[in-house]
Amino acid sequence: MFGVSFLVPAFLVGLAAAAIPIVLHLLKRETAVRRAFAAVFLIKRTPVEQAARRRLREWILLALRVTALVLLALAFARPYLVDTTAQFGGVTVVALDRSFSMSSAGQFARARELAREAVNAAPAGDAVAVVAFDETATVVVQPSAGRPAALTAIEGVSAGAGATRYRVGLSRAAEVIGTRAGRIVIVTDLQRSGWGAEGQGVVPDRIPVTAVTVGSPAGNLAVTAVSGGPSGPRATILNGGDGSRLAQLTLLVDGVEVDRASVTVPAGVSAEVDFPVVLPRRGEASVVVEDDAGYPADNARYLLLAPPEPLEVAVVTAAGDAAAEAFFLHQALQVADAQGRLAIEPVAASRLAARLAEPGAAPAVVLVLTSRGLDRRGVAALDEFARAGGGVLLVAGPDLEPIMLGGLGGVGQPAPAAGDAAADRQLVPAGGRHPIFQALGERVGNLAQVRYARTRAIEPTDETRVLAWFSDGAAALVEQDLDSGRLLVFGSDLDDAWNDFPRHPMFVPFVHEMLRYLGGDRRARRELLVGDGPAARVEETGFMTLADGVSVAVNVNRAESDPTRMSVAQFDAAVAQARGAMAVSTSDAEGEQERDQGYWRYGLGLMALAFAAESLLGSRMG
Amino acid sequence: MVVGATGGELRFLDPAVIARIGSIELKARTIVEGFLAGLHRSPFKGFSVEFAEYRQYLLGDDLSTIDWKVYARSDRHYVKKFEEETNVDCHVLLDVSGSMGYGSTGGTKAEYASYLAAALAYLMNRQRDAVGFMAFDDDIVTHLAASARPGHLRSVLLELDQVKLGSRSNVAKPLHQLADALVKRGIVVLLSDLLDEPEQVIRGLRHLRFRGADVVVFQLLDHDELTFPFERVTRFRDLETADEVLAAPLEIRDHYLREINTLVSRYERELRLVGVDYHLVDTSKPLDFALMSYLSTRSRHQ
Repeated sequence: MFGVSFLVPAFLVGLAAAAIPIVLHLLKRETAVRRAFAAVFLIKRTPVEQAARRRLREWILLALRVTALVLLALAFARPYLVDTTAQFGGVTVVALDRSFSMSSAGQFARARELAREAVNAAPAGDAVAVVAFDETATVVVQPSAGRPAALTAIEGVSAGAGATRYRVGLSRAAEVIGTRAGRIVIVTDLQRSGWGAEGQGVVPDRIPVTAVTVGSPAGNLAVTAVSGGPSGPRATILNGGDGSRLAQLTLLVDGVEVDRASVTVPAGVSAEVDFPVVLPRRGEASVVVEDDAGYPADNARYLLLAPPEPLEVAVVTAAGDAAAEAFFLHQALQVADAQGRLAIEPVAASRLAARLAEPGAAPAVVLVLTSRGLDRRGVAALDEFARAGGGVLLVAGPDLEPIMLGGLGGVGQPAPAAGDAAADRQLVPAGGRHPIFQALGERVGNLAQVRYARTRAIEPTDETRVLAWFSDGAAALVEQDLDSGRLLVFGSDLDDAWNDFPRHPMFVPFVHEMLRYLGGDRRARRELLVGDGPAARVEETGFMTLADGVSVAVNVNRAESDPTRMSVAQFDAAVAQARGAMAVSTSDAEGEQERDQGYWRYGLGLMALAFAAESLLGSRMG
Repeated sequence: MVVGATGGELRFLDPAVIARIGSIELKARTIVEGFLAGLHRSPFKGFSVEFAEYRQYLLGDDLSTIDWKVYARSDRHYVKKFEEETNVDCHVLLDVSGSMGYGSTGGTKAEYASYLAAALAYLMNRQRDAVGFMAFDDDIVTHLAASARPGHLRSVLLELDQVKLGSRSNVAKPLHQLADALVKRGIVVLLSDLLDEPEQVIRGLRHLRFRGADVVVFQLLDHDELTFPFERVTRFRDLETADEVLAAPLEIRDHYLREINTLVSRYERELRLVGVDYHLVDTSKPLDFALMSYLSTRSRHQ
């Protein structure tokens, strides 16, 4: 059986409008004069409707008008059908954790067994559904009264290489339950790392969640990081067990064992192991730890060997001679250029449009030092470049005209306005967590040693983020996302004109980090985690070639290697914390159900028909 | 054709004025006296109820009727004829069905008809005619046989004063009953709105004519019934059947007027064919025309 529910019941107030034609009808009825008459039989002979017939038509008209208004109100209230039988009986959803922290020996078999028990223990009147989750959630079996389908489906679920995300699993289970009554039985190892801050799924208050715990392995050794270095590769080993363990490591390059190492790792901590091996410039390296008791997926970590590609930076000056026009900045960039980290290309402002229009040769970052010679085409090209994913650094020094910047087609949104100031001030980062300042590490405090005699006033907007302030309260470094690209505006000079920054040791790393940050996304990624993927979700660890021909190493999420568990009480507390915004999720489910059914369209259609019939009948009645 | 009073001297024939006069007897007298006062130019001048004519004595005549004064002057025997010898039975038939209860100008058709009936009775009595009275709706409500006795007029007027409106009308039925009961040729005056089945009504009147009666029909219709002046949407309730019809008068007026004119024309045409004096009376008009019509018929009966 089905019942009717409404997505926006507030519109049902509109049903009161149905009283309008009724009132009008009654008022209209009163306007007809009553008169006793002798020759009524002569009136009856006239081709006019008799009272009874007309009264019938009036009632039909009234019914049509009322119906149309009722349909209008109902359509706006967005009705949809709900399965009242299912509501009565409820739904039991078994959410099965399939993350790789469930993959130790015998662990997932035990999980399946517990899941089967949960299915069999579901109340007799309940429908049963099965959801498998890690970083994503899949409905393995839709709600059904029969148990065999669920039991069979559970056998088909296996642990993967993904990480636990409780919110995702619970949210999907709640969606399956929808507006019906139900309960969720989650079969999991209660891994603490599964409650990450990320994830938007939540559980409604009315749906109870019962955790059925699967035991964790006695210990787990995991290779959580591998990095290449000039002295050889370095591997980081995590011991997730309760006691110290000896980790036996093997370094493989292109599938061939190159070196072995061993290290004793204390309980609950990580240890680093260096392999005294010179790695080839290109190839596929991996470090494997022997661990029969723990999770197989994190026993290997993969590293793609490839020389770093320099970040191409176009330096825009008036004449295209950066060495002469921006001496200090040019020197700072040359340092990285020499190391092969940056590829500097001086560009005259007047040629910027042509340069950016060259196919397949766009730089990663455009550093704009001047607006002289920058015409409208150049500004438009810069705007297009940024929105296509490029990075732009505007140095708001003496050569950058505020008016010109204001017309940069959006690039110059936080453009410096008039109001130069002449006073000594310092640069203060808004927070140390931004990648630019994070990369500077402890040295970030040295930025305060720079004295800024002149600055440009940058007016932050809702779309900008201020990364650093001057000590007088003005914005010093502002960031703005432009579609796929990114814009940074520095509110002073970078060539020793308005400040003494170029003569400070922080100048070179600060400039480099700004450029690296702007160009970071443009450089090809060498590593993906399971669950990531530019197009399709990556499911397995190892090496793979993406659709655009780029090779990457695929590793597991290192957080999942930590087998630290929660107690059931802690888990329940975390679930309770996640129940906050469930109304949104429920509304989404209801909205989806309503959209699928789309009865409001039929309501409006019927309303139109009712009005058409009313018009027709009304015109015939006169 | 609708005829009404035109002279200011006939103001006492105005139904609105008559309605304000006290008793029915006084009303009748007022109407008739007023009517007769205006008859100085009438062709009925000299009509006498005391003396009609002389004729030569014939064998078998009552010797007491010989006018001896004439014999003394002319030496011839003449018999004096008195008006009593020319008296007729006059029957006034009054329709008191529900439809007669309609009236738009102060009085109803039934009231108008009762004034007219009273006046006719008074006039008949004044002429020494025997007056009979019958009130009917779908059946005979009151019936007083024709009589010329001095107190009979009072009885007729009393009945007229006490007549109440009935239900549905069935004009043909009393006509047939009266025709069956007629033992002597006379005058039958029918006062009705004739909002009935014309076929039946005409058949009843033809029956009367077959029995030798002179028939005068006054079809009394209200001014509203003749002109249908309504404008607002109206729910018309039938006075006899209580049926209701919702109608927009402006839209149906033409059709209604055609219907009423067709009905009137049919009565006028077909009744004339059978020798019935038919008169359409607008009840908003004075009563003189009705009296005149009666006298005209009475004169033909001589």
